[in-house]
Amino acid sequence: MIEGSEFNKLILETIDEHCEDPDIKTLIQKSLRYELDIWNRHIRSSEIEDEYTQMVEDVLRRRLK
Amino acid sequence: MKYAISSISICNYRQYNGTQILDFKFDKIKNVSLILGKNGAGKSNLLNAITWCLYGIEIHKTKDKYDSKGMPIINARALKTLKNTQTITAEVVIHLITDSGPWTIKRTLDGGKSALGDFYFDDISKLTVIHEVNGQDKIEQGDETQILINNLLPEALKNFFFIDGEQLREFFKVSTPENISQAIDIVSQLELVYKAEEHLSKVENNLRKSVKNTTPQLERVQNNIELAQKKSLALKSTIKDIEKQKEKDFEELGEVKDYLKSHSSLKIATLENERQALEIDIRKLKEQIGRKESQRNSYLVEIAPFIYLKKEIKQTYKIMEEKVEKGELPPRIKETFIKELLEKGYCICGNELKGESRKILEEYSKKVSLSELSEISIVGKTTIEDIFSSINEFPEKIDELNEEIEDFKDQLERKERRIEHISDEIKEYNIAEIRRYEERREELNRLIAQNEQILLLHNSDMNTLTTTLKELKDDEERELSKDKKNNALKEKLLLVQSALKVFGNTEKIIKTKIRTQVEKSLNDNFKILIRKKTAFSSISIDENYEVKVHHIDGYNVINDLSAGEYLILGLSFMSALMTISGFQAPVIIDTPLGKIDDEHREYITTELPKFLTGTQLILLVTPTEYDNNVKANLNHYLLKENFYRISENSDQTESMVGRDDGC
Repeated sequence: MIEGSEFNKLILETIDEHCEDPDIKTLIQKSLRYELDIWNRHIRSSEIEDEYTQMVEDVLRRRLK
Repeated sequence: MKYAISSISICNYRQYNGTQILDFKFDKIKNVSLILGKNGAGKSNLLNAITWCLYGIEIHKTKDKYDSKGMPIINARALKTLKNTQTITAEVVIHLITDSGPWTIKRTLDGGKSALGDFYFDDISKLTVIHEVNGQDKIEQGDETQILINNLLPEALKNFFFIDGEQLREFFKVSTPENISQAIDIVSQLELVYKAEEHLSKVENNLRKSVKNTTPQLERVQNNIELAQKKSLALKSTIKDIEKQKEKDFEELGEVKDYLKSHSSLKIATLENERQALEIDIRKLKEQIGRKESQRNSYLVEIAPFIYLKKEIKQTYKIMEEKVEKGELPPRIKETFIKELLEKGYCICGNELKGESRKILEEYSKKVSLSELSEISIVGKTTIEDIFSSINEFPEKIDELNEEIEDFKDQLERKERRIEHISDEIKEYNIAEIRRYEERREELNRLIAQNEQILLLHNSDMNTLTTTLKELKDDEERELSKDKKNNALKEKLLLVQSALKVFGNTEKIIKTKIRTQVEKSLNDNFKILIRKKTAFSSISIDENYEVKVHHIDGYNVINDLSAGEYLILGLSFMSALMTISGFQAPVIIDTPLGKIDDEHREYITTELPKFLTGTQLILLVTPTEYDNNVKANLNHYLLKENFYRISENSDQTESMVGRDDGC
């Protein structure tokens, strides 16, 4: 699936309207994308935390580039 | 991804013995498929077969948990025919047409009969998905396969597409505002926003803790460095001022001394010359005393432990001497040397080693090689002898050093006394200027000595301060290396907090927008589907998610609707949610027309297929629902190939499904 393609457009549009920082936007999109991926799946909370930590690191690494 | 069901194959599932196949043709206009069956014939189990295949859940049952006392999921008659140790599988296969090619979804549950004749069933069913990837069929199995299905239509949304007509009619009768709010949250994916917020908050808490724990000392250390640096600067400045003053006093003292030394009075000049020579001697004597005292002190430190242990050392030495006497401790002679003598057969004096003397040497050789300890004991004995002799020398040596020091001190005292006399003599001289100079000389000496004392203290303070500062800087370096990590953590924390802020700011706005959108869509759908177009002015969903159906006269008639109106309200709401969700799946309704009046039946069957144009609509109806009017209405939207009828065996325990040719 393409990132954000199946999200409710209204949610993404509203977030877009209220967020100017591209990094924050990316983190939000990534987190929503991940939540969609794990929707209705039983994932260990530690695994979710690791995934989120990785997301934050990825966004910051991209900012440094 | 949009999809439609192209066929369903059911084998040994519930009351369906053997394999039953339902093929569906999809047409955008003729979008209705019909499965006709009496109450209890197996319509609901067809819907159950679909949800079980897709999600492992039968719509009215808990996931993969079967009531051991109830009907098994595997067909009862098929089980009955099993012999001991034979196995059997219940299977539902659904073929889909999707935007990205055909999909096959298969779910099976294995069971069998044990050697003792008991039936057993697997706890978990198996899911297989075959779909096209880059033009090739890909077979997926295992834990992650369910994600593929959820990508087509998430499990949480299944009730908005696979609908139990009875439940739909009851939806607004029994639903609370919380149910409505929750349904909207699920389909609009706002639930994902809440989850993302919840998980980001956890990350925020972890990061906050880490930031706090990384450099709790840095601020304190840096404050202490600042204080120490300020103190150090102030002290340096004080030391510099005192040194300047001391220099000035020295210069003046030199001038005073020069004045007295070169005075025309021979007596004064001589006295001053003598005094200056004495001062040089005194300086030298003080240095000598210092050196000697340091020598004596080092000696005392070195010898003190031996003196303290004198008794024990003496005792040890005595024991060793006795051992030597007994021949238990040999003298320091190398074993190799004795062996060499024995091999050569001659003594170092040239005499031949034979008889008694050879025998003695051979015995001695054995003693020498007793053990390594004997060598250590020899070295130990020699060392103790040295220590013992130095203990004996101690009184003499310390007296000698003390005498030398005393001698230097006597000389010093004499010279200092002489200087005092010289000073007294000069002060008593009859020339006032000389007396004044001498008094100034004394004053300067006192000031210089006093400043030297102060400098000594200040320099000691300065040394302490320098050491403290160095230690603090080391601490700071350590804390700063942690601080680098801390800055990275702070950056992360800021990013997470900013994201949470955006979520917080937009959440309410999103929810209001979605609620407004659902409300609008609900109104539009209701207006299309409801027969009494003028009786109801509007439907509202207020901010507390309370649904109100407004009568033209202003009353809220949500509790006064007929069964047909409730069904239409439910359908309108479900359709609104489907639109919001963005997922395009078939809509399957079990018993959509039960308990509703003829007029609404007719109206729904005319309007619903039109309303859902482009969406596959599978209706599971009873013969009572499928009356002549309904039949006539649905004929416009029903392809002959998509009409199935469920029939039962004579004792009504088995069902078969086949195409109905009487359409």
